[in-house]
Amino acid sequence: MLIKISSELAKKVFEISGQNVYACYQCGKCSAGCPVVNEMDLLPNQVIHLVQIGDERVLNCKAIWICAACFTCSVRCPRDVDLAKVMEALRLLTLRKGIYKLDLRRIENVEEYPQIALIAATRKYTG
Amino acid sequence: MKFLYFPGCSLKNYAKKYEDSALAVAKHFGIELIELKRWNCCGVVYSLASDSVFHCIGAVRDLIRAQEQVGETGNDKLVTLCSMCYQVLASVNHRLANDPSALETLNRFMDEEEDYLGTIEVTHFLTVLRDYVGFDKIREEVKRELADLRVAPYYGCMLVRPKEVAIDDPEEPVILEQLIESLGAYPIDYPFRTECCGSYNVVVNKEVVKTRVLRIISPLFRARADIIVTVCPLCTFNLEYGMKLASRQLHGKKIPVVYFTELLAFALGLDNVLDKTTLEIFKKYM
Ligand code: SF4
Ligand code: SF4
Repeated sequence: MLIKISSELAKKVFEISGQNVYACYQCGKCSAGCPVVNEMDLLPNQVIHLVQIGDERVLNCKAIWICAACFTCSVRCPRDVDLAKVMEALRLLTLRKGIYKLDLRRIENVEEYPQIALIAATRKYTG
Repeated sequence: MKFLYFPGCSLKNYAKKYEDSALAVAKHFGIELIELKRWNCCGVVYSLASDSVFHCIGAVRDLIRAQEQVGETGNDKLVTLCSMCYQVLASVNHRLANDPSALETLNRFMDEEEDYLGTIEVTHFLTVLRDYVGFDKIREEVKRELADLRVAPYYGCMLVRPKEVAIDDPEEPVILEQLIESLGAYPIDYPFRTECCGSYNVVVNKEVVKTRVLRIISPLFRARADIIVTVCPLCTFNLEYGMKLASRQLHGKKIPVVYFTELLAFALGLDNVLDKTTLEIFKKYM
C-alpha cells in the first residue's frame, strides 16, 4: 500500500501507531459516538484533523488525556482509522519525553481506589 | 472439564467476590478452573503503540505460564474473569499471532522462560458458560424464581471492543441477556450497556466518571432496574463510585451493582459463597 504522509506530526503518529491519519475523511462519526466528548476541548475528529495538517498544538490539548481508550471510535470508523491508537500515539509523544501527567504521591484519597484503577491510570498517564 | 485460569490482581482483592462466586458456579457445572501456579499483573490496559513490545512483557509471561501448564487440562484455553485482563491478554496474544517479529523480540528478551509459541487461546468465563455448559443446562439448574428480577446488563468496553478480541458483537452483544434470560430473570434493554464508564479517568478526573455514570444509569430508573450486572472490577467500582459522587443529582437513589457470577450463584442457590451485602441485595427474591 502506498501511503503518502505529508506532515511531520502525521509521520510520527504513523511510526508509533501504524495509523495513516490521511485515511480519515472527517465524517465525524468518531466524535458522535465518543462517550467522553463533552469533557474534551477538541472533538476527536478535530484532533485527527490537526494531525493531518501538522499542527503540533494538538499535543497540548486536553482531549487526548480525557480519551478513555474505549475503542468505540475504532470499531465505528468507516475508513478503518484506529483513532484510539492515534490518541495513544499523541499521548506517547509527551510521555516518552519523560513528562508525566500523574504523580501517584499527589492522588487524593489514594486508598479509596482499587489497584485496577491506579495501575490503569499509571499506565496511561506516565511512561 | 478443566481449564487453566488467570485470576489477575483485582480478583484476589477488590473483586474477591467475583472470583468466589465464579469458582463456585464453575464447580457446580463440573468445570474445574485451575489457577496458574505463577502469574503476574497483566498490565490492565493494552498498550496501543505498535512500535514497541515493551508493554506486552507482563502479559506474555502469563501466557508462557499457561503454556507450561497446558498438559494439565488437555486444551489450550486460558480463562479470565476480569474483562480488562481478558482484553490485555487476548490483545497481546492476537498481536503476537500476527507479528512474528514482535514474538521473536519478546522471546529473545525473556531468557529465563521457555519461548512463547503463540498457541494459548485466551477466553472469558462467559464464553465458557455459553459454549461448554450451555444456557439450556443453566436454565435446568436454576433453583429460584426470578421472574420479578429486572436486570440491567452492563458490558462496558473490554469484552466487546476492539473487534479482534471481542467475545460478542461490538454493537449488539447478546451474551449477558441470554444468560439473564436463562436464569428466568428479565434483561432490561437500554442504550448505554456498552458505553464506557470513564475507566482510569476516575483517578485524575472524577467528574468524567460521574457524568458517565449518570448517563449510563439514566434510563434505568424508569425501566425499574433492580440490579446492574457487570463483568469488570473497574466498571463495578466506577458505577458505584459514580453513583456516590452523583448522589445529590440522584436524590440518594442507587441501583445495586453485582458481578454476573454473583447473580448466577444466587440463582443456583449457592448462597454460601455470597457475601452479606450481596445477599441483602437479593433478599427480596429468596
Ligand atoms: S470516524 Fe474515522 S473517518 Fe470519520 S472523522 Fe473519525 S477518524 Fe475520520
Ligand atoms: S477511544 Fe477515546 S476518542 Fe475514541 S471513542 Fe473512546 S474515549 Fe473517545
